[in-house]
Amino acid sequence: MNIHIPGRTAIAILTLIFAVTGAATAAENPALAKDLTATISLLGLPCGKVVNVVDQGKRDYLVTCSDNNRYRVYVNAQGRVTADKR
Amino acid sequence: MNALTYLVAGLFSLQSACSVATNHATGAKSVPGTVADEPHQNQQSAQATAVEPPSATEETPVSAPVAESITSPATPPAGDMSPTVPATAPARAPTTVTAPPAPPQKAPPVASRKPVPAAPQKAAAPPAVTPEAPQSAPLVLTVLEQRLRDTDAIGLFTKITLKNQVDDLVKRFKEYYGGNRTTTLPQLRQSYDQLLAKVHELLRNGDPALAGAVMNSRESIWSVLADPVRFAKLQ
Repeated sequence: MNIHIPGRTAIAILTLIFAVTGAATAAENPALAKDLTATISLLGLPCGKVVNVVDQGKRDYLVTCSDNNRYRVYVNAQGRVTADKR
Repeated sequence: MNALTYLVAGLFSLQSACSVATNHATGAKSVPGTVADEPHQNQQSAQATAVEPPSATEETPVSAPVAESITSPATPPAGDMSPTVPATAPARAPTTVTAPPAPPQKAPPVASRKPVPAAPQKAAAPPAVTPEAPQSAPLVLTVLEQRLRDTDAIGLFTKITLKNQVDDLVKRFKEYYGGNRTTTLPQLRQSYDQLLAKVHELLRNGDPALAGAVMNSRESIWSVLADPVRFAKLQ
């Protein structure tokens, strides 16, 4: 018995799985959220508190703040922590 | 019959022991090795244990007020930041840090047995240790850096960001000493103070001891940064 899954559905399922496993609320990883909150504050950017974090790779996060600002926070090739507003 | 013999012998030995003890109490010399010597030895050993704890209790009032600054000398100085700090100061401090937990257990029996020797030691000890505390408080820059690396109070991104900002400030000092006079020393001092305030704020809740040590080291570190010769040696 073969189960046929259309291409679009498969992509949607994979995206959903990735989103579920990659994203974490601040409650799920409070240490990381606190770390990123402090980092954004040190960089002098408005944020409030980090409420959601999506892991985008090694030392690369997409962050949502309590004031609805979103940043990509990552360590660049020069070893500097950078926050790009999204 | 046997029981009666033991009873009589026991009474006799008890009586002789009492008479020797009475002689000793009134000043008569007792023969070494007699039964009467044992209580005296016990008394001496009781005094020994009584004298020992006061030395521990003497540290209690000292270590309490210096507790925060004492954490700094726990690590040996590397030598480039606090030349005025004597080498013996850090070595003595840890003993005062580790001592406090023990004294409260030993202290009560000591006070009841031998209160007299404890008082003079208590009075004499604090002035001897207290003057060292302000000198040992500042942290060496390298030690401070290592402790910041090791602390769990701040996360990896925060640490990297702080390092970036420290590097930026050091770069500005280099430019200043290199002849770029667009930045003034008061401006550098302001940036330095702001950076240390940030570090203190980050550490205040998670690692209050390190936060205190950072603030205690403020002037010590600045004295290096503000001195071109000592700053050059850092590089």
